[in-house]
Amino acid sequence: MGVGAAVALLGVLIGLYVAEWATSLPTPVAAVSAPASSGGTQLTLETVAAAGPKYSPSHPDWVSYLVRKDGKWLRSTIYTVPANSIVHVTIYQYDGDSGLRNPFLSQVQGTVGGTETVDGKTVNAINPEEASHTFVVPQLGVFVPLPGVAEEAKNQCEFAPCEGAAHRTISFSFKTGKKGRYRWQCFVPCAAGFIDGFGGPMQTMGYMDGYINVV
Amino acid sequence: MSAEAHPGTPEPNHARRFTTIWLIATVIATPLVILLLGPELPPGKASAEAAGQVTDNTVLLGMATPVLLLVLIYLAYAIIVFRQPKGAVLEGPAVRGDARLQTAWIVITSVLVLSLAAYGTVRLEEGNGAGSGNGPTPLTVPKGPKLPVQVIAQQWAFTYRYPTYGGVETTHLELPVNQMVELHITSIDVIHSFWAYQLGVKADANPGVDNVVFVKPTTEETFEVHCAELCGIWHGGMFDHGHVVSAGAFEAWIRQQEANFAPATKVLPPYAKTYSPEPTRRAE
Amino acid sequence: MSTTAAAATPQPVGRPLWRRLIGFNLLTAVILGVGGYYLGWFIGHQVDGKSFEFQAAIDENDVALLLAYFFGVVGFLIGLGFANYPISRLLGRPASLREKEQEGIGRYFGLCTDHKVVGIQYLIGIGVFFFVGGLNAMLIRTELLHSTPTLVGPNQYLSLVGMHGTMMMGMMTSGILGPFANYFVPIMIGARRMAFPRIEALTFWLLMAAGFILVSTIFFGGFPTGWTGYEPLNDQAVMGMDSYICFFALVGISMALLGLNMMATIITMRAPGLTWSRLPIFVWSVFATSVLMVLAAPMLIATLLMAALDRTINTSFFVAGGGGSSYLFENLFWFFGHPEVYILALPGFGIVLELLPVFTLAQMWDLTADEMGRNIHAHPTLSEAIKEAVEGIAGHMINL
Repeated sequence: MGVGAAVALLGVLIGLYVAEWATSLPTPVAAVSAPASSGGTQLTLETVAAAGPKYSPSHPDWVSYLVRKDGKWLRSTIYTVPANSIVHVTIYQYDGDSGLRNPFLSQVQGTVGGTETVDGKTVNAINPEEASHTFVVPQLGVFVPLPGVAEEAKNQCEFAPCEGAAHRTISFSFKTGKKGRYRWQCFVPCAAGFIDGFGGPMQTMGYMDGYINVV
Repeated sequence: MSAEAHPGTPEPNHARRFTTIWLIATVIATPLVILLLGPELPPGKASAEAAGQVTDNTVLLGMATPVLLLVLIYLAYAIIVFRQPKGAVLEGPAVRGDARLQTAWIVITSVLVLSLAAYGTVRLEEGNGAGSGNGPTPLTVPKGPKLPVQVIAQQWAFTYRYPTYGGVETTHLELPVNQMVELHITSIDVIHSFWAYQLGVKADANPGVDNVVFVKPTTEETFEVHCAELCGIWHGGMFDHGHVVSAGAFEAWIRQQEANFAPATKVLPPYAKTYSPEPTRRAE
Repeated sequence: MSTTAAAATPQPVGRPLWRRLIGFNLLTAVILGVGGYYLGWFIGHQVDGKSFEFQAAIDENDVALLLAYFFGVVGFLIGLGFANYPISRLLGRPASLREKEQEGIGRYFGLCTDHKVVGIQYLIGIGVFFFVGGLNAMLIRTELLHSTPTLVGPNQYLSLVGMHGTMMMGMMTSGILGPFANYFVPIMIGARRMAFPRIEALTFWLLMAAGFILVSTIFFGGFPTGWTGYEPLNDQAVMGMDSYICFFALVGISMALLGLNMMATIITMRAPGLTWSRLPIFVWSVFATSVLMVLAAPMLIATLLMAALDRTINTSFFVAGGGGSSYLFENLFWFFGHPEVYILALPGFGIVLELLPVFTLAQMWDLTADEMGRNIHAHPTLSEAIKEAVEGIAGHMINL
């Protein structure tokens, strides 16, 4: 009788653990309202070479995207944006370059004007060897390559949140349409130590992959 | 029903009864299956290869229907006719085997299977692979002009390169109607599979391998492209829509792509059957 | 139990529970297993060298996990008492066939060399892990109630699919042979035991350890490849992939030993006068399945070892960029995989053929049982031919 109860309790606990593991996803973060002059909403992201023990205790050396929320950086890759509107995205790129495997993705596609602004300069493509990450939403046709910090730059960032370290500022805008849940990913082989650079953080939600919830 | 239950009545010729029932059922069902069910079978008629697959599936169904009816009718016949009378427990007849019948069913089954194997092989090679991948050196190649299109599978999207149009790379696949297309499917990282089911095409994309598929789309329509080999977290998200358009619309589209993607085409590596981009093994 | 029987069996006088728990039993096995796990983990972290430099960047130590699993399983088996007989023989003690005889339900939770007990252990053990796999399937179906991702994250969904498939396939490899053949084959051939009773018990406990290892993959990030474990995605995956590799390796060892045991029993321990042509059809089908198991399982173990080497010391058996081939893994895996599906099917055929004559009260049609057996034995050779034909669909006519 007692053994049966203990086994049942163990089963319930295991079940709860598995359910919690199965449904765990990064916290969704909503884009904030942009200034009235540009309209739409604003999303501020950063990419870092290593998430660090504070943001990722189990994988401190994994590359990651972070999002700014209420003035603080949060490690989340699920972003909520309104439907049928324009979304302005600013990305602070703190990671060095890895180079694209498919140089085709070095051209900007799907943004407003088909361009992105890198450190103030508007470009429609970057040097594929300089790519550090990409922000790609295939279902919306948005392909944005992000150039990396030069190798010889001083004051490179070690761990997130990377305030004040060497970085590139990239901004672009894209339009959303219908409601839905769209996936986004990085296309640069930035997962150091993994085969083809596409393992680990490149295949785990909360680092280099996420959802755009258009509501 | 059986002679043991009604002593005095002659045992009906079960073999003849059964064969009659089976023949009638076959004659009714097989044409119905071939004529009504056949044309509805996947994958549809959007390309010559897909239509060929529908034909092959119909042939298979047509040959399978009599066999299925044989088994089901025999099962039903045995259950109904040879059922034990209520309350009795009678042993079956002491038949240990019938060499002719056993030989017959082994021979007939072998003939059926071997003929289907021969049929399938012939259809595969006369169809130049019938929509499946042939590897880098196909056994049979269709004659006439072929439009080469390279499908590059990567984690996690398909891109397409047109070597005869300056090696331009695009994110969507558009094909001209009624033109034989030679797809070269390759991958630059893990195993993917290019599956455009309306065109009847499914071929694995392996790293370092050029998989050749011949397909001739015959109707102008939108087809779906899915990845059919588990390749990681967004394997299910690797789907796309392709279009089969008229030759004129295709020319216009490809010119527009060449113009749109000129910056990207400049930095692309020269067109090759396979690619080995860095990092080739572990990323630094 | 009658009163006389109760009076006849002497109860252990005054032995408290904690004294009875000391010994080679499941509790000791679990404790030594956990100890072995940490020992392996520790050793894995001391291993270093140029080939392991990438581990610092990926924050994962596959060597540590694989060694942890290995030592954990070894500790588990030692705790159950499997090392007792080899060591006693090394020390010169006489040979014996059975472990200490026990009574009661405790036999089912430890090393027992009674083939009927092992059969029941298999039935319940495989049933438990089937239930786990079934729960995974229910989670998958719940997620699929909506066409867009709702409940389960994409990593976890992939892991669930892989865990479900792998658990089911791995457990079903011994699904009929384990419970039914272990129980019935000695009875059907008139033997008192299997040829190797301790190996029989070993195959069961290896399977249980394997099942536990597969379930533990969720602590290490799961694995994204599904049950076929194709390279190079296998190589790219995080540490949870090692659980898959370990699971299938242990299942493979269990299969090979089970098949070997069956073959030895059926060949050498038939009752006098029980010629091959008089063997029951179920025993024939078990024999054919055992041949397949012994042929296929070692290939799986070797393939998984190559995959583990790719993941740990950075070889490139299966990575095209380093000179390997992804087709190689496909081919090697399905060298096991196709016989596997016949391993699943053949025992079922044997069971049906046993049941039919009983319930139809008609004799089984066969020229002799020998002929039927020979027909069943065509399967192993045909299955290899079929596997090669199916491989052609992958679209390669390349010589490997």
